[in-house]
Amino acid sequence: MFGKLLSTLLISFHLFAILCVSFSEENPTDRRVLVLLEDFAIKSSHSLFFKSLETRGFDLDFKLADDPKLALQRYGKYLYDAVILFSPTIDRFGGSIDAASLLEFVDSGHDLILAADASASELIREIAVECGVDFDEDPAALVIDHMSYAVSETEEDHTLIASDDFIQSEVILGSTKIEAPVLFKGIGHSINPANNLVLTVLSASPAAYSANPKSKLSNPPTLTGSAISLVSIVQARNNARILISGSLSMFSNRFFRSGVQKAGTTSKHEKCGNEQFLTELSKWVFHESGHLKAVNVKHHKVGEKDEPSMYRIKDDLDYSVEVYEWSGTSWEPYLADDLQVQFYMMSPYVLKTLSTDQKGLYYTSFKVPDVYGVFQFKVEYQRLGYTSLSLSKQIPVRPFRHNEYERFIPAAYPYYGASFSMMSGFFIFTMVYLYTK
Amino acid sequence: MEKSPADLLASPGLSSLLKSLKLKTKQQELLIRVSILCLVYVLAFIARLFSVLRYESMIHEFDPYFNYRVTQFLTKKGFYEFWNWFDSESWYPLGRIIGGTLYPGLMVTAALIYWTLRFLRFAVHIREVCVLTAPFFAANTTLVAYFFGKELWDSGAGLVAAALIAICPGYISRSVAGSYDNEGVAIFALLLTFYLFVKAVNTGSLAWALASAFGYFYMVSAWGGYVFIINLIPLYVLVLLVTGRYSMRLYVAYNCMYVLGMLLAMQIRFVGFQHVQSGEHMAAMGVFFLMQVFYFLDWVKYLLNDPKKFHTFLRITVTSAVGLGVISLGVGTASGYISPWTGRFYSLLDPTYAKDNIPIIASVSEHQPTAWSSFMFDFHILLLLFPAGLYFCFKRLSDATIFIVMYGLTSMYFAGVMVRLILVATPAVCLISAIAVSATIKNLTQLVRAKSKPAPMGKGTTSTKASSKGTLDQSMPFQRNGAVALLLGAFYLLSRYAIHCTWVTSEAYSSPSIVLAARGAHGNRVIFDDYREAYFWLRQNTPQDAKVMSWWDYGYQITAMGNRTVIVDNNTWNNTHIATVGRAMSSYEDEAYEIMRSLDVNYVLVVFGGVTGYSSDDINKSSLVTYYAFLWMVRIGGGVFPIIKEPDYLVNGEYRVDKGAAPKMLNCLMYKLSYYRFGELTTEYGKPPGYDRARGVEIGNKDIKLEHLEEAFTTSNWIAQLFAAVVLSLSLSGN
Amino acid sequence: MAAVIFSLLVFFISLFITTSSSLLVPGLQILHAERQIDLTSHIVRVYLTLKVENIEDDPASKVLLAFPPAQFDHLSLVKAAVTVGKKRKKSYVPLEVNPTEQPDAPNGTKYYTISLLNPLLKGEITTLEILYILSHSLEPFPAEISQSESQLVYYHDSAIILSPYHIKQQATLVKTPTNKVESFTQVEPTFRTGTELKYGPYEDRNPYSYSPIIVHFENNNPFAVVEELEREIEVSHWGSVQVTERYKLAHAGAKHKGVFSRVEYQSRPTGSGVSSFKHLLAELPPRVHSVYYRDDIGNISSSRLRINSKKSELLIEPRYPLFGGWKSTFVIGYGVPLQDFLFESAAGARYLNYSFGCPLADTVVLPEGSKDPSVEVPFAVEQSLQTKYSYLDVIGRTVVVLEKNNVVPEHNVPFQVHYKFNPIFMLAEPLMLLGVTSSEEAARWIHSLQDAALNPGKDLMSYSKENGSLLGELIYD
Repeated sequence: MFGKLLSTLLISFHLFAILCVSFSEENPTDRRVLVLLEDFAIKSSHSLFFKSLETRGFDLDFKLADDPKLALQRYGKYLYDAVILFSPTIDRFGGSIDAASLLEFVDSGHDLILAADASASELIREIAVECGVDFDEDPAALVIDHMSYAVSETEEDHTLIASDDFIQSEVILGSTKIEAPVLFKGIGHSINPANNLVLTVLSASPAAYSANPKSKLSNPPTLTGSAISLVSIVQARNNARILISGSLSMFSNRFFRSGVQKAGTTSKHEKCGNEQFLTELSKWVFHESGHLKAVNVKHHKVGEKDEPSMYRIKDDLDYSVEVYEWSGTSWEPYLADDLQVQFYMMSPYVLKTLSTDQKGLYYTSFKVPDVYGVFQFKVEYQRLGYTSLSLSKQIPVRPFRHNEYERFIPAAYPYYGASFSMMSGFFIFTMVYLYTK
Repeated sequence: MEKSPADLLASPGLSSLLKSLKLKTKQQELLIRVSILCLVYVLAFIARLFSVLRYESMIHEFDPYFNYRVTQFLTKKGFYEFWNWFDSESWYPLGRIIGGTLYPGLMVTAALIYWTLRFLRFAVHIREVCVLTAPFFAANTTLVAYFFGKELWDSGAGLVAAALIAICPGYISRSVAGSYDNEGVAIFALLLTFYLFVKAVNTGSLAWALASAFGYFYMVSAWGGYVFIINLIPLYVLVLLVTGRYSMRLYVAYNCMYVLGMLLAMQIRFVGFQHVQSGEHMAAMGVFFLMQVFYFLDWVKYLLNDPKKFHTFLRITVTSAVGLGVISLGVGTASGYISPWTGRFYSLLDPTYAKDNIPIIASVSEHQPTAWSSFMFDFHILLLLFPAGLYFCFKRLSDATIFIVMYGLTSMYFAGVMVRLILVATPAVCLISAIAVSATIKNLTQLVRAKSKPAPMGKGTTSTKASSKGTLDQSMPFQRNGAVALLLGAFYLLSRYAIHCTWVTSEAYSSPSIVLAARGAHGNRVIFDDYREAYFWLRQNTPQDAKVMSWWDYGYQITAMGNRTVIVDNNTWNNTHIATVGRAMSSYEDEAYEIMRSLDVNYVLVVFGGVTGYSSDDINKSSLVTYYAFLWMVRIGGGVFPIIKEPDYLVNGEYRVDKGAAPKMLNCLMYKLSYYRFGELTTEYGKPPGYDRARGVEIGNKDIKLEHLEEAFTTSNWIAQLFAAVVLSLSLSGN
Repeated sequence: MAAVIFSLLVFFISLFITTSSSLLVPGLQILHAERQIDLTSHIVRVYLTLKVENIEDDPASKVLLAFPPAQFDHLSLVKAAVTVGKKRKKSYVPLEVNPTEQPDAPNGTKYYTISLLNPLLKGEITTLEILYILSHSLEPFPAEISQSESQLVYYHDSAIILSPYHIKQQATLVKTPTNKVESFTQVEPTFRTGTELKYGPYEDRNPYSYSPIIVHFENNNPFAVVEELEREIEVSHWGSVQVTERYKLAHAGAKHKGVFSRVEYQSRPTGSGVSSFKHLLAELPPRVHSVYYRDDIGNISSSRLRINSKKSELLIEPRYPLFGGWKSTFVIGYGVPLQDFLFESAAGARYLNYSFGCPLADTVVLPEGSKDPSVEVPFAVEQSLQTKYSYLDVIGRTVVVLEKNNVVPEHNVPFQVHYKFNPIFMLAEPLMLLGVTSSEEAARWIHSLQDAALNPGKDLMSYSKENGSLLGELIYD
């Protein structure tokens, strides 16, 4: 009896673990993360990074990238909320995973961390390109910088870059400023100008260029200066987030621990910025920061409570929406002064900035324009680092009813006068005509 | 049923029967007349029920579905809701004020019938009332025709007219059971108005004029064709004035009819102030003032009884009056107070106008100029009797006959301009030919009778007869046999006519173009019910607020049967909006997708006959036979958005869908949607896959990939295909 | 999904805890229990054979059946019978079964009580045959499938029969429609052979022991569910009973996902849309006439009627094949001869005898002028009276409305409506009909025409799947 109970217990726990969907509107932070490695050595060599994730409550599922039993979904349900690709040189994944399935994974709103490296494989490049990032074609190329490399006692390695021009965003990189520069050693990439979803978070210094350090530089390098981005992020339309780094080693314990002194500067930090930088980034990517939600959109006539099925032109109405920000543990009111609502029919007829009560409630009131048709309340909100809000609610607007116009128009008084005088005149005329002589 | 009343009148069997029951001739005649009228009435009604027999009691075609939907709304919500109805389900996102943009006559009539029946505890469904409204009014029209004919000529002519109009294909085409459209009621109103007006002119009584004003009001409330009345009557009056037939009767009739009619017509929201503001109605007003001038002149003439003075006075007044009128008209038009003539009106006067300027009108098949064959088809022998009737009218010229002549001539001209206006001409043609028939037959029968009677009586009759007969008395045998022969000939013709009408009605005019019937391989009847399949799928399996984009023909049906929001529909009031849809249909998929997103379109409906050989589908080539032609989408789209150019879709002026087709043609949205996965299908034995049976070619683009759309539903015979717009695809790709 | 399992888990854990504090309904024990769970259709039929023995002194007249709350809500029918006689002349005597509340039921267990014919004395043994039917207990997983996939469902139950009694020996047999079983919970001993899945035998289980199992298997039966159904039976003493049935039909299986491709559907009927269904079979009374089949936008021309002496079958085909989550509404109407269903009980008193069928709302429209109606139904229904005005009614017709929820085919039993009627009233309408208008005639005429227009389109049925499911098989919720 006991054994049976236990076994069934386990079974049901197992099922439970597989089937429950943890990424929800209520709790947007990812929980189940699949980590694809080239060999398990990375697990130990990058343990600090993984540890920081695990301490934040993620359960990491380490798999070899060519493990034949790999699968992202089962019976149409995804088994993971996020994927970390620490396998730069893999040519094809094992199991049912391939570039397409990974992109589908992202398309359905899940997150991805992709770390390439020198001699990144075609597969990795392909995925990156789909995300709007082009790595340097030359597989042997590294980012080289003779000005702002990391000074070290032993040997002068100009491919070990100490970069410190970050993107200016507290949402993405956290509130505390990153003092020490970030060590980077790997391949550089450029972002596709046509794609406006990609952002560079860490870019190389103007003096940097991307080339093969071994061979002699025959012709000028294609990627140069701060056009080279070392680390960049993508936020897809469905708010799936992607982190793309040109260097796998920047996640490693060695880099995390090592101190840094940027060439040409005297300030020596005994601990480089990698840990803070990457931790903050991972927080962002896994929706621990910068995630907004808008709830109970309300609108009604001024002075009424419940929402009408249709407005009349020139009605006065109240519109309100509540916006909250996910702090990683709970929903806090989102504070901003630039939220706007449009009253939209093919083009915005009304555009008003919403005023807030600092408790997450945003509200305004305006007059329905003198145009009938099917309108929409639209809120389109995109801020750097935040998930984009896009609400729209349809509401028809009707013209006046036959009995809603005013009875007597001042402009028409001459006509009234004319008609009445006509009537009386006719009456008098008949009187005179009939009863004279 | 195939005997026209004319021969019933003369058939010896019936007369002997009447002899047997003791009746005076007057009563006999009355009895015959009434019974014939009843027969005709019933005939007119049941001749229009073929469609119900063949299919079911259903609403036909396109516009009737809108009328049906509106009527349902009216019966459910009541009159005021209907009057103020703002429909947000059509013309998304603009919406449409139904109450202010339709002629409510038809719906209100149907609703009234429905309510009365309900009150009398007949548990009829509103659909049946709507289906049977047109036949009912057609039957009533026969009565009006009888009285009109009687007014014009004599009761015999009236009976013949009733019989002719009861089964005339030209009229049946718009009044079969189920074609629940304005015309069904309007023709009745039109004829009634004319009849009452003629009556008023003949009698000069205020009462009749008033009645005609109300008739006119009903007509205005029922159909836009009232413009014909408000222009024909002044024209008629003008002619009378010019021909010096001005009389007090005319003055009373016209003034009363015009003033009251105008005031009443203003009560219809859709018409509003047009009677005083639009150019089409100015003729009536001008004639109205002219009447006053005439009256004034009469009075002056009576005051100063001196011809010389009067003539000078006349010259001055007339010139000044005309000058004044012209100036006021000019000023009004210049100041924009009087709107110029609308395109439709122009296109009536000048057949070629629409083709160049208003493609949206020209694209409708029933707005094409009429082919000679369709005249023959719709009128048959009436076409021959018409001139004869005119001859008789001119022989016995009176105010009434002048009216019918003018009505006949003008409407015949318009019938030549537009196919659909044959409808307006039909009553006139029937009446005039009725005059011809009854006049001839009367003369002939009198001839025959005269011989059968003793001489003195014969003299009596001859004296009463027309002078032409007097001369004929010499050659008796020939003339009598000739008369008999002619009579037989006439009867033969009439019976041919009856046969023709029945045939046309059952074959041509009784199919509800929404359920298609075809002969199967074994000669059995195959029914294609794809339209309703698609609409019902929409109704059941799509979100309530889904927006459907289709070419405007199907708008009314989708809202009525699919109960979903449409972008454009058959009420083509906003050319730009339609052009936008036309542009979407005729541009590449990604451009089209952008347009669709801007209009929040969720579904696209495409009609395609390639599998069944149903030739009037969306990419049909022949833009003349039918109006679903893809070319019209291109033209209308190009009319507003010059990016769309017709030549891009043609290969040196030729429209093709096979390999030789223009590249833009092969890749535009309409083509891709119509032929999506059609290449895999073998439609006909011995033909390659992807063989289009409607156009008889193998299609040019066989592997069609859709990026932004996906197939949502396709009906069993592929006639209606629905495609769902994939929302927010490619969340990664930028811009 | 997750929620269900979780609740189940919690339920079970709590059971596990409570079992230790052994609460017993004393008196009986079950020597041998055999359970057959039939999953071959889309409603679950469970056949349970219990061999019950009384082990205490005072005689027991009741036997309790225990159900977990989740199952209890989906129970649509529970039947029990006792076997009398030995091998040869074995016969079943139905027993009374009704739900009962137990005071200290562990974690919301629900009960049915079977009352035995004669109380069971000490040491006596009796064998009970129990059938209960569960609706909505098969949960499609994955919840959304595309056209080419076939439909997989979960079935949740316990390997061990939940019972307030000690069960000496038991076994459970699960029948699946095909031998395509994705996965099933192992509770040793468990064997699987083809379409059969055997749990047990298990020896000596304590009361309320429970071990959840999940069977994940393929089931392509049409999950046709009638969400609403109203039937109107209109009695006319002019010789016919007119019946109108309004259906609201839905496919409650796995939702259809993505495209619907007509090419696929037509060219590979076996490979695509296997879980969809194209037509249903309605069983109508014999000698039925003037049948029609339409929906609110007109007549549906695809249907076929087979009439024979015992019954008539109407093969109805909705306008489109129903895939998962798709809906369709339609109306079936027909007339049946009066003498088959209306009988005269006493002078002036008549009663209508009609089978309840499976409607949710049954409205019987009696002819105008009929008085004090009364209803005899073998099971509990909600009754109410209304008045309806039809053609040429003055005082209106009496309408008896019967409503019942959660109906399964087993409720298809006759019921009677008694009422008094004075034949004089029959003459009222003809007298009024003298003044009938043509439009009214036409309207009636059209009614008949629609019936005529029903049967064309035989060859529209050309590509129709063979396994047309029975309308009787539908669940009514």
